[in-house]
Amino acid sequence: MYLCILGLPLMGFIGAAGFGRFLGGRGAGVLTTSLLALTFFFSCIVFYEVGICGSSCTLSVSPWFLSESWDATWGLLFDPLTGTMCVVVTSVSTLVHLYSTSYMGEDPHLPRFMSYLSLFTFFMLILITGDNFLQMFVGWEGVGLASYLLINFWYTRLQANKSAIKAMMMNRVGDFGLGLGIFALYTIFGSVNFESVFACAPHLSDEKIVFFGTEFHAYTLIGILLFVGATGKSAQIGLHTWLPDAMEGPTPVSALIHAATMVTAGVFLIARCSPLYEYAPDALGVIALAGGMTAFFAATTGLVQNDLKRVIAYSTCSQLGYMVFACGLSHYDLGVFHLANHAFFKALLFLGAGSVIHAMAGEQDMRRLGGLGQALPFTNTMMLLGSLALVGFPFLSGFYSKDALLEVSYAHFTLSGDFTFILGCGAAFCTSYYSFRLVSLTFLGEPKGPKKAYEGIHEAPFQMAIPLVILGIGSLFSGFLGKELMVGLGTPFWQNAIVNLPTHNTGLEAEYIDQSIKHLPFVLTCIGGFLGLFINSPYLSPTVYKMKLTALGLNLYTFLNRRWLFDKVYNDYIGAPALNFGYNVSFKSIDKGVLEILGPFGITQGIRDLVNQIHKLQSGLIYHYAFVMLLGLTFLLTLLSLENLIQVWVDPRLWFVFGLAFMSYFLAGEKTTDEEKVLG
Amino acid sequence: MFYLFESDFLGLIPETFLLLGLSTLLGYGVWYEKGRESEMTSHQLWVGGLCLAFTFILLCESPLMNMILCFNTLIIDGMSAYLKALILLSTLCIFGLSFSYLQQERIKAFEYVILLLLATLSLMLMVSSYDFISLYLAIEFQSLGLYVLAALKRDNEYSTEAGLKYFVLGAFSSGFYLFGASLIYGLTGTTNFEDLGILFTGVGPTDLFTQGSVVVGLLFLSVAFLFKISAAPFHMWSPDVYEGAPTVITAFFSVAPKLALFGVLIRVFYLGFFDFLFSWQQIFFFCSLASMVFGSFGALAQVKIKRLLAFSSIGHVGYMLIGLATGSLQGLQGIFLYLLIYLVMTINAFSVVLSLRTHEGEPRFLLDLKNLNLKSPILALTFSLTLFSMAGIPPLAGFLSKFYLFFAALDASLYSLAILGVLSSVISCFYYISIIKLMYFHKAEEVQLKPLVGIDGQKGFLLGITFFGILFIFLYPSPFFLLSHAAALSIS
Repeated sequence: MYLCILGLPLMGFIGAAGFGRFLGGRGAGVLTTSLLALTFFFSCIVFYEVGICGSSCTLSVSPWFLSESWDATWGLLFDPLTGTMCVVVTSVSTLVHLYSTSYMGEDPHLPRFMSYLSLFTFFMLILITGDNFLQMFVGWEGVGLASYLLINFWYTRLQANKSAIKAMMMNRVGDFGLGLGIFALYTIFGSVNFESVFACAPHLSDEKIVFFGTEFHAYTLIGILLFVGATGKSAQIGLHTWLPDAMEGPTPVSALIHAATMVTAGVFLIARCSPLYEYAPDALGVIALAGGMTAFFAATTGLVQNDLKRVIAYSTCSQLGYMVFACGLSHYDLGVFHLANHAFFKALLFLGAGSVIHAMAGEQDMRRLGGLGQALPFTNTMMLLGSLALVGFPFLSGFYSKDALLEVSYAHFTLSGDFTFILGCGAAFCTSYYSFRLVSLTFLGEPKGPKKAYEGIHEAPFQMAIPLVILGIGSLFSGFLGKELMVGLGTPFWQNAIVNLPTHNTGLEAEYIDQSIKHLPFVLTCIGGFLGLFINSPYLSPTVYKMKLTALGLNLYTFLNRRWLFDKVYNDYIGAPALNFGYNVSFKSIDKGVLEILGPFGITQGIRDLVNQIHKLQSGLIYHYAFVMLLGLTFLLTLLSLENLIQVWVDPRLWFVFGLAFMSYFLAGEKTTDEEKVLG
Repeated sequence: MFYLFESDFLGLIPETFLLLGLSTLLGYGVWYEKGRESEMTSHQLWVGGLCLAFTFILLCESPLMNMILCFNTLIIDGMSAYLKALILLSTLCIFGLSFSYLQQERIKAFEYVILLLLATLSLMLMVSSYDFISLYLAIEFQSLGLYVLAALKRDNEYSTEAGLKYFVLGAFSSGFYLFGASLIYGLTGTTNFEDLGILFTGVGPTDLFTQGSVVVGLLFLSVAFLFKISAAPFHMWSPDVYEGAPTVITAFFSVAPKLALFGVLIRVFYLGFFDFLFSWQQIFFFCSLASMVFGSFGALAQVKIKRLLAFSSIGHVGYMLIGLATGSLQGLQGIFLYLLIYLVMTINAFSVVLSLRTHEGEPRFLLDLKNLNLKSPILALTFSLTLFSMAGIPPLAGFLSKFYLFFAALDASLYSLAILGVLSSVISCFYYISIIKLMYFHKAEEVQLKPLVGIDGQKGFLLGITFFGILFIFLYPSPFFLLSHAAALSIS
């Protein structure tokens, strides 16, 4: 059964990819969806066995690299963390599969799409079930690959190509960090197995490591390097630019990969490495600061985006920031809990957005939507529900995790705690604003789109409605049901999967903070929500538009709408010089220049000339032959009798230089003849 | 004197049998030639082949494994047995190729067979030589036979030119040999290899004068031998002679003398002058390098098939000299293995070339190979695999031998030789593959196809068996490893 969790999605992938043309779109859809449903069923059992009954287990599948002390194997580790992730991944994945069969129903490449989705699920499961860093890395790269393939699913669209490449590039930076982190881990621990590494973690916490000629505290360095990996995958500030662009992919992909599962891999990584991070407070500080900044930055950017999916993408980015800073404050359990809740409501939001886009024949600009509430009451309900859960409306799922997050950060009483609390509250306000702005612009107000789009409007079909309903239920209750289990004070649920030093845990303090502070996020949320609804309502929008035209307003709007100009800076200061270097230096000067002349071109030319020379030696005259023999004899005689003098010259390096000189000589000769030809 | 008859002739039974057999054939030819010239060569070939086969059996079944005979002038040991067997096999293969060739070229001289047998006998004696004098006699014996064979087609100006060039330059190199040998005799007072070896044991850099003089003698000797195996820079004669001589004789030239001369080289330098390793290592190092380079670069410029094969054989000699330069058992084993595989590949290549005959005559230019694939797919496939094997592409026999030699070179710390060997084999790949391109990748309408003359049974058999060898030696090489190891062990 444990193996089936990995095997069934892989089977789905192979079936849909290899036999897609026989199965047809519908067949592939049924196959993959049913296999995924089965996987989900198994995951629930695993969650029950491992999480609730508390029997973690590992499976050793097969050896992989066995080289002296290097002992990476293919193994599966099922502990509560994995169990939770499994349930989240497979449930969302199953629903997205089901949703896609309808959403993508008219696409001729449906089998390919379904196979990619299954492939993604498979790799995601590899990532979360791996029992060593190396296997996790395989999953990590695999989901990156699947993400690339899915963003680029409509590969004839230039924008999709660009986004896919951007996602790949940005993730490479992160993967580089992750790779270095794993190397550093191996240097310190001599193993990449989770068990060995984490068991040794408390005992090696004073180790030092030399990196770039400087000595660092090993855990801090490892922690930061791993966090660089997480930054890439979880779109934290700095490497986040790919995530909004990834919305070029089909909407179910955005829901599955770029909201619910893959982007949370970074959070999972940090939670998984909690035994290490607990001994690297500096790394935790960095993580908390980065997470807080991401949460705030993404939320502010989301305020003024006009694309329906882009707003939700920035919201995802911001929520990821929340999760990361929770981990940075040593509350990995809260991070994971928020991850699970977020998966439901964000998938709901995306699928709802997909439903809108589907209904409006591909229109996703919010300025051309509006008034859809009456036309699409079901979708409207679901989107509203998702938004409420997102902003943390009391007793919906977001409330339990997000408010708890802010509380513990306030109760942390450190620099990073206060920093994240302030930014988190700001982000909560912005979240609320843009969520209700979205609702207001899309569903309320008057229709602003072309008449044609509104004529063809239709409510989501059955296969699309079912996932929405289920995710809606999830968004309603997952927080309430999971709170005590996962983040209740002193819960035994996590066993050893998440290590939290008693000194770092502020769960208790959080219960005793000031009541006003506890209510602050809610108040901010309410204000933000009202603002969001009213500013964007038709009655106030002319006034707002005037405000936007003032110098300050315009600057602020441009700054936020242009996403804090991150892309501009990257393109101008990194992208352009890199491209310039790549074309002018490495391509033109080195590859086509030096290497071409000394390499293929030079060798062919040089050899041709050499051959002609040798050919001329073969004159056919007997006295020439005898003369050459004598010459050879004389040469050998010299070689032997003046051995001591000559020995200096018999040096491979000199031969090499001689060879180069020889070749350049021939090339120079060749060039002059060419010039002569030109002149002649 | 009486000892001579007691056991020495026992050791010489194969050679004696061959000599008697060829004398009988000579008598038969002289007395019965008149009136049946056309059948005579065929008869002679059959009987001569039988003679060779019996000699081969006598050689293999000889009870005497190690022996020094005829007053310390000849020796029988593992190496001589191995090389003699290969020489006999190669001559047998040449006989097999000759049946149709002699008919097609209208060579009605039965002396052809006699001369080949005499050359074989001399090569066998060469391998067994244990003394400068006996070696010289054997070399001259062999050379005289080969000069005549090269000029066999008296009415062909290429052939006579080849014979003459070979003769003049061969005499030149014999002079070198005699000068070197007399220098050494003058310095040491002995001509026997083993005596020399014992005399030089432990000669270090103490006695500089003697050492220097011996080295000069050594150099002259080695130049003579290197000329005979056509190693660069003493190779200039070989493309001309190979081109001019009748094709079967070219095949014989490119195999049999090399087998014997490598035996001689090993005998002289490993037995007599091993203590001068660091001096003669340089000679062979340089010649090996030069041969590989000239072999591969020279071949690039060729447009004639036989000249190309001549340059290819110069390249192969270069690779074998690597083994000689190592001065180790492994290197010797590598040479012996290489010789065997070289024999197989060369016989195969020449069989293919001889099979390419059309009604208009023998093909001479590489362009005649154009679109061979359409004329005869099987021949094209065979030839391309042989060329791949010569180039040293992995699953074929040629790879095995080269690989072994390069490893020996690496073990002996001759890194530059190994690396340059690999590089030059890359270049040689180029011209081998360009032939394959000629055979396969041309538009059908570019040349009009002339039908090939049918292949006779003997040639077909040779083609098949050598092709089989090239393909499958790699799968089960251990018997050949063992054989070459046994041959190498007798020297150490």
